[in-house]
Amino acid sequence: MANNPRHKFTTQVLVIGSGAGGAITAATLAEAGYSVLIAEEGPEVDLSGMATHTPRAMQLLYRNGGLSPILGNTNIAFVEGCCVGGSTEINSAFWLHTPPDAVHRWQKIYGVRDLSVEALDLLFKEIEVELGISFLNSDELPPSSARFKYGAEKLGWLIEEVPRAQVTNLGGSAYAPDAKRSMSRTYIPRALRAGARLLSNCHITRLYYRRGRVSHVSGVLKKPTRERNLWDRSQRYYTSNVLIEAEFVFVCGGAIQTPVLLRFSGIKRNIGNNLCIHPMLKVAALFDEPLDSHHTALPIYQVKEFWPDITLGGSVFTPGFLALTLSENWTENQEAMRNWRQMALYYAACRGSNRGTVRVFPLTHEAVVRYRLSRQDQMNLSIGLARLGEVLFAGGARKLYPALQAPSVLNSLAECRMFLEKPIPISAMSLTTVHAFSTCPMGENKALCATDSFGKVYGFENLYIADASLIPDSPGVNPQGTIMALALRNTRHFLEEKGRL
Amino acid sequence: MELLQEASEWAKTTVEVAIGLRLIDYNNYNLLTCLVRALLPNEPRLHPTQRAKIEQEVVDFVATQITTMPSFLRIPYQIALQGFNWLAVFRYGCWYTRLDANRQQRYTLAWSNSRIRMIRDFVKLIRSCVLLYYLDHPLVTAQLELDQVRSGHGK
Ligand SMILES: Cc1cc2nc3c(=O)[nH]c(=O)nc-3n(C[C@H](O)[C@H](O)[C@H](O)COP(=O)(O)OP(=O)(O)OC[C@H]3O[C@@H](n4cnc5c(N)ncnc54)[C@H](O)[C@@H]3O)c2cc1C
Repeated sequence: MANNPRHKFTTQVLVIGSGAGGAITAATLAEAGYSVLIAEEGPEVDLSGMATHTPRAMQLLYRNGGLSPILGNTNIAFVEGCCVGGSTEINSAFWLHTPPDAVHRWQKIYGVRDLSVEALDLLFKEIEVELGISFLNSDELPPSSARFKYGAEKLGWLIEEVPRAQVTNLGGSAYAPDAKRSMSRTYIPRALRAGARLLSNCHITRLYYRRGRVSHVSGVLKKPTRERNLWDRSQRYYTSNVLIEAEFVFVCGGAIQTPVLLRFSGIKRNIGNNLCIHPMLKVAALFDEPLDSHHTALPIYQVKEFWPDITLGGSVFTPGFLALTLSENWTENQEAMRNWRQMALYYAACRGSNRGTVRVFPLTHEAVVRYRLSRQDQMNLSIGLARLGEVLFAGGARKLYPALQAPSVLNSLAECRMFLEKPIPISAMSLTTVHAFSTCPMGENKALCATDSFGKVYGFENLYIADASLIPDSPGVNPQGTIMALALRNTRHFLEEKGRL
Repeated sequence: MELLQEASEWAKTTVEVAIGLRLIDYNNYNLLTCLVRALLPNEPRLHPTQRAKIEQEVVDFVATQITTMPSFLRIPYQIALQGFNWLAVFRYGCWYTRLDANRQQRYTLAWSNSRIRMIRDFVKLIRSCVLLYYLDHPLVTAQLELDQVRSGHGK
């Protein structure tokens, strides 16, 4: 039992987390007539007029202020949202369907049943209407994307524009969050309109269960005070205990926090063992003419020539982000900042081939995330950098500054091609990732999976998962679409089972 | 009952702030101010009062970032901060916070170019926060743009 709960709630369905998986689950269940309570650890933030990648926004919207490292043979910076709407509030909202070969693999290896590419595509189409998935107007093509496209076409490589969840094709839409259709602008209001209640700043810390039934959960509710911390002048909070009784519990905390909550509650079977990520290496490119990437729309192209193992694309740009990429060798590279208007940021990402783990740090109950870059990952990132160099030099780049300890600058195609033969040492790479999944895989293969094919946790009759952690393994594409489509599919199945559909 | 609980919550918080954080953190805050000063890019050149104001914001930002780190990293990091301060004694005979700006910069550079990755990463984390906050500050970005127009760069 929670110690002296100050607040007690009772609900039919408790949805823990309000990100891509949680929001659509809550809306679907509330619209079907269930009484739904959404408990979200992060705050509800008014995003109008706020660019979601600024340092201030990082402190408000990102978990750990954006400092969540993945430990391993090289550190990988992992970023996730912690606010109403979850990571969809801070992401780029690129929208890609689940690749058919991933679906087939999940059926074969994980034994996921009743999952077809066609049925998923129908769910995607339904969600796309709500999220306003659309392509950019051609007259808004950012110069950095035009260069990238030109380079890829010159080489004859496959390149695709990726649609986004956006309201309209406003110039600079990446930097105007009002123009992005995140969860706080779509499924959460829908859930609330259908009668759901939202409890923000509420961190669920433990599930209590007996004989395969979760009876209630406990958590901590934070209330901002007028005081500030002495040390950093950040906001201080009162905290009080909450207890929530629910008939059904849907855990939607994301690929890292869901296993933390479950493991801390003593639910460990196949939970937190199968972490997949898409490690990403950033590169700053210098061109001859100004691109003014900080004023343009998000880069929208991905080179698919080497997909599914390697994806190349463009990245969000601000002078600060550029400096971060250059900071690996700041002493040598800081001069390059003088030409910041002529620069743009790109990435080479690979489909991680290894598996990581999520564990709970004993005293503080925080996530300890581990992933060791495999030899295959190292090769793919090295090849990715070489190929990215080819595209960018073909597109007119003069110099490249990769986020590597060495070399700090690449001046020619030949220097890039070197990585095809001689892989970059793992310890020299400074990597990031924003895609994590598969820590509670779904499927009928009980040796590998934590839940059945519809997200119901094995051994429980009223505990479900609906977020990135369910995806059996790396889809090789940006995952928001897959997460939402699977969550919708599983919730519909739940409703069908309960005779509510 | 509610009031009592609220009061005890508040008392607990106050004591925690007073004892737990003050001693280490006040020291660290001072240290961070010096470190930020050593790492802040010289360009773009701002009016000194404007720069001082932004510098203060950067220190607050870095301090908050350190506090929001997972505690199994934050605590070693705060200890490393102290180590950074005290190890300067071996090299210069006084704490980092007491060094002149020039020496502070040289000492910081030596750490950021160290052969040991952990030591490099220590400076890298603060440098990343400093660069991000400073260069994405609206006033700084505006000045950067102005400088570009003036110098004819990137026209
Ligand atoms: C910077 C960035 C850019 C990205 N770009 C794209 C993109 O362009 N396209 C794409 O497809 N994907 C993108 N992604 C990935 C995508 O946003 C995520 O994969 C997706 O949002 C994950 O959904 P989720 O529901 O699993 O978790 P999240 O969306 O992260 O939501 C989880 C929520 O649960 C809350 N929570 C966690 N634990 C608890 C708890 N114990 N109690 C209460 N609440 C809790 C969290 O605070 C969070 O709000 C990006 C991600 C990031 C960070």
